[in-house]
Amino acid sequence: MVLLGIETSCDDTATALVADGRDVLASVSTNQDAFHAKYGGIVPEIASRRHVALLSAAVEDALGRANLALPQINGVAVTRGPGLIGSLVVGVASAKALAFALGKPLYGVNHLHGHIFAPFLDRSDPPPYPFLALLVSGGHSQLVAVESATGMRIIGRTHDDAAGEAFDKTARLLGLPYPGGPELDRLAQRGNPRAHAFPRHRPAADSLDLSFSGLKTSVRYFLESPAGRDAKHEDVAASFQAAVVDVLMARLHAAYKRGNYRAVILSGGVAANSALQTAFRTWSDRNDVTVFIPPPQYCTDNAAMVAAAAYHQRDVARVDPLTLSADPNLPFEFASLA
Amino acid sequence: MIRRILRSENALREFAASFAQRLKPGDAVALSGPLGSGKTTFVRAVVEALHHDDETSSPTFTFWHRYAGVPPIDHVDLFRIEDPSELAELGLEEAFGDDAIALVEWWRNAPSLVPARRYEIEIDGAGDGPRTIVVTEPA
Repeated sequence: MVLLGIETSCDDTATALVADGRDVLASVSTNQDAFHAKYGGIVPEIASRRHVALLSAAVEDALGRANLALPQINGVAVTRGPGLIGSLVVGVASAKALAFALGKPLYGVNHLHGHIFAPFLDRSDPPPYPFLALLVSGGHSQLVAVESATGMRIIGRTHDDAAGEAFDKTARLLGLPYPGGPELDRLAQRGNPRAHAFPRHRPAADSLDLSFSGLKTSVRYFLESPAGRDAKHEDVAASFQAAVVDVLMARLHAAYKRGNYRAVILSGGVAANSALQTAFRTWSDRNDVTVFIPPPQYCTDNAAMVAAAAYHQRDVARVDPLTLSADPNLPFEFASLA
Repeated sequence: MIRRILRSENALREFAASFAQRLKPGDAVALSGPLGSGKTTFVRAVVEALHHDDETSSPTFTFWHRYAGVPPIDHVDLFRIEDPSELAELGLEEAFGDDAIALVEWWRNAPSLVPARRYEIEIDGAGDGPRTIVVTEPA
């Protein structure tokens, strides 16, 4: 069963073709250099990333790479929320039109569920249920208990900034270009994570919730202080990163101990962070936990994860092409969709 | 123009909650101040005051989040906008309708987006320390 995935929840346009929720036949993102090289002259408004013409080109490109024609796909999967309404509607409208014209099933997917299924891509041993997911990106930071493909609930969340947002904003304080997360990671690799003791905030003693706003503020205060003005930026980056990783790992460990999980997954853009990956793998060895981290191209927003989620959730995600609507504030839990 | 010294983060929240009472649908509030000064704290306090709701469970977001309620409140964050030309593709102008109150962080990254008739709020300070807040009312 080959599904065409379409993801336009934020400022990127992505398409993919995935067989059986696992085998990625093609995964295209219009922010890729290769895509620009091929279509830069064909789609005049390439700068306007939510343009419908751009999405059509991305669908064409994915089909070309997979060596498939549209009639050969078995259905269309699209992110219906949460995200930016102006971007979501482009993906949803295109997916509806395609599904209707082809007479194929349409599946509406929650963007966050997509991240949960990223570790299922391109591997023969998917995470076994029930598993715990740490979802960390520029827009989201949450711990999710995943009982089944459609039975999942958030058990910890950030009270303020998302982890990726803390990375981007701290990177800005350090004068690094956007997107700051990967830049900060690179800088931190040359620094001493114990050079500065930044706070590890916890909203409440028994809570699995997260908070990063205070950490960001501490870094700002430190950089404005006499000691901070002379501090090496690689040490500040490494010490900040160590604080974020400590907070995430402490909450992950507490959540793991409270449940009865067979595996733990790390997903979202921040999952590509090298210090977090190292801490996560060390933790899994020490506690003998089976862990999954998607490859970097499936950590960040992509359409393959959307197609995978639709496949695994196909019984409940199937929607009428004429009635599907984008929902910028789509709730996380499936039950509330009913 | 109103200028206040607020001695703690809690004082900032209380100020925001009382400021919220003067807001009506169609109003725009433009917030500025350095990282960590409390712009997001201010917005959340306004939402909690008007919707009588604990909003800490709301999803985080990248550019724009609408808090459903009466009236709806649009929370726009332009931190990531580096050039106003990026706005065209995001559709954020739809956040400034007559039916909702809009609060905009980092509005100076795209001043043309924010209606000319607006409250401007400048916050300086950070953490639980004292802050200065300056409110400029619409002309």
